[in-house]
Amino acid sequence: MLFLGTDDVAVGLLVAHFLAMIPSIVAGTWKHSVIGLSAQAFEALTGTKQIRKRKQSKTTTVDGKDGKDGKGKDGKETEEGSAKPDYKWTQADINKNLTFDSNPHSFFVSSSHLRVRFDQVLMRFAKSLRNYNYKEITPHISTVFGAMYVGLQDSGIATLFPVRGPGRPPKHSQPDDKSDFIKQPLIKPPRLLCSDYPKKPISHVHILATDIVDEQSYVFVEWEGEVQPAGCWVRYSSLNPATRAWLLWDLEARFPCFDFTRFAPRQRCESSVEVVEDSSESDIPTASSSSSSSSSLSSSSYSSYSSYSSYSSYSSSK
Amino acid sequence: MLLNSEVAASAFTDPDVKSRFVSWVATECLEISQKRNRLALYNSFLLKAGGASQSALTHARKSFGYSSSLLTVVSRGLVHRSTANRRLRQESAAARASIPNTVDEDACPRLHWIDNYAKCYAANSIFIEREQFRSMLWTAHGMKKLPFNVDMSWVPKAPDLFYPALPNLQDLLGREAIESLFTELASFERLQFDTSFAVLRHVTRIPLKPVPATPDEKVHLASSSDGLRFLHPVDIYPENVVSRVGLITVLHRLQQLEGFGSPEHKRFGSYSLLHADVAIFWQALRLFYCYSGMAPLRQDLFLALGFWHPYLYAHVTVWNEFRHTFLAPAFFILFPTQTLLKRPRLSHSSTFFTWLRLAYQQIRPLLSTSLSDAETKMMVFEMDHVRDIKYGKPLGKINNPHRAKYIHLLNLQTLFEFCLPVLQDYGSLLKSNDFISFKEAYHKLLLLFTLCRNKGSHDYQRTMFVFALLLRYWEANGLPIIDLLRANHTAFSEESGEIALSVLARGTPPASRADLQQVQHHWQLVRLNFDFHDEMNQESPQQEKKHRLIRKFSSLFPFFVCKSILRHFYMFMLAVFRH
Repeated sequence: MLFLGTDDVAVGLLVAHFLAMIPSIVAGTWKHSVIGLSAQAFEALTGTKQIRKRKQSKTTTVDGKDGKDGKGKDGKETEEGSAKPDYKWTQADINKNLTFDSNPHSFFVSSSHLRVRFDQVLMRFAKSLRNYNYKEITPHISTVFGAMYVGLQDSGIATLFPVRGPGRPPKHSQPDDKSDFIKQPLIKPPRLLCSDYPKKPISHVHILATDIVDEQSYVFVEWEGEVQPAGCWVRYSSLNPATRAWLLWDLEARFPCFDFTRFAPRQRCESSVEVVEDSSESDIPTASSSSSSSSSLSSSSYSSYSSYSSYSSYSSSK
Repeated sequence: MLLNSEVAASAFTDPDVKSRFVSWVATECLEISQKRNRLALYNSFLLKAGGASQSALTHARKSFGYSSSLLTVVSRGLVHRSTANRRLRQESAAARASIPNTVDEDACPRLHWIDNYAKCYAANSIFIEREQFRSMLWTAHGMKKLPFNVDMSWVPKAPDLFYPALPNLQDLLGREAIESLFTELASFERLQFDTSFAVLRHVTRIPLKPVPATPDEKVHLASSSDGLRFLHPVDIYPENVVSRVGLITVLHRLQQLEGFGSPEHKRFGSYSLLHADVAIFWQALRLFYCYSGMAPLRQDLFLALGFWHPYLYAHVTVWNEFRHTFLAPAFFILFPTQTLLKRPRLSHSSTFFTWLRLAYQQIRPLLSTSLSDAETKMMVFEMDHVRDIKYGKPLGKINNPHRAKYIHLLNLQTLFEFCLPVLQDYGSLLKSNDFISFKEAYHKLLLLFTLCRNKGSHDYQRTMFVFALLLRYWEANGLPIIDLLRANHTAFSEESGEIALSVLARGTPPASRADLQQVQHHWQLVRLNFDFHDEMNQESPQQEKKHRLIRKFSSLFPFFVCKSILRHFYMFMLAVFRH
């Protein structure tokens, strides 16, 4: 039994460590190690393949999963000759390959991303029942419990969560079909469209903002092909459902844990660059003035946005 | 065989003897007094001084019927070892034989527990040979007698129809249940620190345990329901429960004992309870659901997931997620010369995470400000880019340089604000008497596992997911297991079994570890040992500090000298005869 306290030396060391680390992350000088990463993650992060030592001898399966014949539950060799990942590190190991992951993912996800993860767990459960090894187990049940404990060799999971075969899905799903409430990871629709410009396909939706005049949500879209202007603000409600769903998914991935419904940037979202705004109402540069004021398109000019006050107040409130 | 004070004094003029003696005492004290168990330390000194094995004297009271006073223990401990062993064997055999009678009495609900026996050797870092290990893949079976007056009879659903303990798959995976579970998980905020139980109650004890706030909680915490108090060893079976075949055989043995799914058994019409760790729970669950013939077993048996393993593995999974970015550098700040294991021991992880939690109070303002700044810069960059596109600047997606910084800071905040509080709340609430709060902590831990991407967490994701659905079903239909959980959910922690196995592993002589009969015998002694210590502790309940203990037993000084001198004498004789 041990009692810890804030006056422990370890706490002081940790505080000093993190107080030094946080500014270095902000400054862009921070690097982290790559220890313990999976081979795929290692390769994605460093661009090189991970070389791992091969084990020389067969070792015992500690959890004893049918270890008597040296095979795992799937009938595969458990340890012999397999690439064994590292299981312990020294300080020198973490300093060996320092890097900065410039494309990290947020650990915490919510709404649609969380729903996908949740459904993946459900699907794994269903798959596990579906792939049950009746051939191997049934004889043992008959021997030990008796044939009456076998009955029908079916969990019924295929009825609850049917697996879609190859080909086009049926037009009308059956009443018991649960596939409609199982969320799959979204893929980008082949065409992103909005009703305001039905003939102009969208290449990319950049960001969502709230217009300070009509308080409506707008998204900035970039058009496909050589179009001038290359992009403009369009009403969020004008996006077709598939585009809208993709946008929400994409925004959550690009701006994790950012609540656009409450803290979306507020500014004047003009749908056309031809509209000339009175500078007394807004400082947003217009197309006619952009050539003369191109030097003002820096991040410092963001302070001229009327949204800045609300944005900074959000930041401080957090 | 006592030395007089003169001999003791003369022995200590030899600096070698003195240093060896002091090191021996220090080692013993360190090893035994870690749990501040005064009695254990006291007994150990006696045993070492008397030359008897530890198990012999700790079970001596049961075997010989003497009182617990020091002089009696010493005097009666001199009975011949074969006599002691014979009586101990008789006692353990009697305890083993009495198990079916206990079940027949059906006085209180019994929570059965099964696990792999050999695994505890690996878990306790006890080295054994590969072949020996394989020959020991047996199953340990224990049961907890839960001291609650809960009727375990079937709960009627309709005339001649009763709620099954494990519902049909259609009911378990109903759309409403799944949607309701997801809604609950999605409702949890990322920032949990301020409302965390461990933070609010300032839980700093390792292993995590809150300081009692109410008299009821004090009684509950003192009962240590996740210890050996309610656990009774049943048997060691020669089958390996982790293998599929072994699981079927062990379940059949359990069925014969408890009667679930057996219309001929006298307990027909009553529910039974079984809890196990993740692997066994999962295998058993699939077995029950994949055969329609298993319906009688599903009707009777509450299959519960042991609450302790998710807590244990959550530490591992947090390490896996944050090791390379934040945790490993912090670890080496504290322990620069140590090795960081992929799966650190629970006590080490728990201590380290608690230090992190305590440190966060001072880190928090800077982290919060930095995160806000990074977020602002990221959004500014995006808005600038949008404006560039609008006014004819370069097109296409560009990499926002502030996004990576923002996400790294966000992850650091998530570690402190979500992962550590959720993990430590679960561990603390597991020991508390508040089932409603614990249930919420369970769902938060499920969310934590769901958010994890490493492969090891997949088993826990699906198992905890199914068990969360089972909890909903049991609660919605008022099944008796919920009453038991409300009364004492700590008893559903399989840590009791792990502790018992640990005691067994350390208490079994190396030569007997692969001998099934010997292990069965020692398995029964685990309980006898606990009873003896429990009674002794009740006789002297006041806790004292370690330094006082050592001083108090200084009168036993000559006893300690004896062993060291004898060892030296033996070494000397060996040297003489070799030459």
